[in-house]
Amino acid sequence: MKAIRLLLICLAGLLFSCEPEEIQPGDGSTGIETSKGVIEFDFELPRTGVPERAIRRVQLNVAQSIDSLNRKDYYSAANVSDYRQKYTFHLPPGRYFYQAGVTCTCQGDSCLYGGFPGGQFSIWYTGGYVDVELGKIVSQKIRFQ
Amino acid sequence: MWNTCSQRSHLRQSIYLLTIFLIGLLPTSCTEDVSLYVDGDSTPVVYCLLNPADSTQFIRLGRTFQAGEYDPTQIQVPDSTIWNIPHDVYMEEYQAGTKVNQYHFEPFFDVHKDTGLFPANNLRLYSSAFCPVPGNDYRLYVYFPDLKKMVSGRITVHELPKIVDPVPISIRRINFEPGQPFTIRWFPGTNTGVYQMIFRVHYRDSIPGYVEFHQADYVSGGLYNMEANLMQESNLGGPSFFTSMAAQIPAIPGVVREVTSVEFIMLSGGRDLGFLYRSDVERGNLFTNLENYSNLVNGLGVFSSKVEQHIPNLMLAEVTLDLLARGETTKHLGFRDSKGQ
Repeated sequence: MKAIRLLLICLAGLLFSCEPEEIQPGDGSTGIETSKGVIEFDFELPRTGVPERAIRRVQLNVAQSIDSLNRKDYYSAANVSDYRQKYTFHLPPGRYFYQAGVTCTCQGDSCLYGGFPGGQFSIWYTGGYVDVELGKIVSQKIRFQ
Repeated sequence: MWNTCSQRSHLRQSIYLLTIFLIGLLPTSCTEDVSLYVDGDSTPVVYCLLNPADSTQFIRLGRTFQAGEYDPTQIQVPDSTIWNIPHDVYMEEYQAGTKVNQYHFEPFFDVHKDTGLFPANNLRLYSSAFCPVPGNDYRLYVYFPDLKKMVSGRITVHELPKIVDPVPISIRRINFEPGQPFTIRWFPGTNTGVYQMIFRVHYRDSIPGYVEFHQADYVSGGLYNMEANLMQESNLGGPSFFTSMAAQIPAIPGVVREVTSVEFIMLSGGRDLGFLYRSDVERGNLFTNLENYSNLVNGLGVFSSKVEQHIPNLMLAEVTLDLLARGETTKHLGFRDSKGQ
């Protein structure tokens, strides 16, 4: 009888000790603010004859019109890095124009002869537009041509 | 006859026990170690942060009574009297286990002592001209010959972290816009324990007739990290940048302000400075509690290394400049926006 009691106490202890961490029921949200959508840019570096380490991302800006983009009146800007390829912007729905730029850090004429359209520290731009929809994530690949 | 044998046996046993006792006493009779942690006695307080980027190194010496309980019946000896006795401050440098140099430290009086709440009489500053080498071992000694007391410490100077972001390319701009934090990236150096990041904003104040140049710092908290191999990341930016600028920069009616450049500064400290920082954070009092952490034998304080790395001539992003000029938190400061308006 005593052994059965001891066994029951041990089992009760085991039950409590194995209680899993409480898991909150998901609401299906994607972490997007209710009034916004998301653009996810895939900022791949262009392939040139210049050594890969010499091509550096220098800017990725979004504006609400081409005119604003040209006047550098940006709506938002990413902190670009050589160690990160994906950049996200949480924006209200609408059409956004983007501009991405890379530079070449090789000295002398190496940038030009390597196929980069400019000399050292010149910026090679590309751009386009993206339509942001409420609560959705839009992916956009950045291409240099 | 039996009685005599028994007496001899007892005598032999006594001699045997006495010999063991005397052998046991031998190691303790030869030691010169004197514990400085005696109630009512003071303890030397030594701070030394070797800086490989500087050609002069400093050691600060003080003393404290904090090791013992306060006894109102005893008259406390004034702190400054400890320096009336001779003492020698020096350091040895070791490379791969071999002693390569010895440096003597001399009293240094060119730096004005803090005249605020800090009691200055019991502090002394010592200097020696040499550049520590990252990766080398250094042993610090403060010797009091009359007291036969030696304070000592040993460290390996930490290696310089390699900063990855921000890069020294001014056309890649720094954005502190809320929602787009700036990620600082670096490869830690060996033996590094603590970091602090600073973005120093240089700006120009103009009113008709004169121009002045000033700066304001946007400072991160301390980052305790002993990792030595993997790339490290830390985010800065958002509303705290604008709050920090508003807190530091005075609003002057009629002044026109322009951001001229941004400088990134990384402060890194050795492992022991990291341990001190962590113990202070855990106790909630930064660098004020002498009993928190010490890597000195027969003394208190910290012997470690620190390095400042600068990346100048960076620029703020247009979005940040516009927010600085027109945002609710900073618009009263009079900064021009990215178009100079």
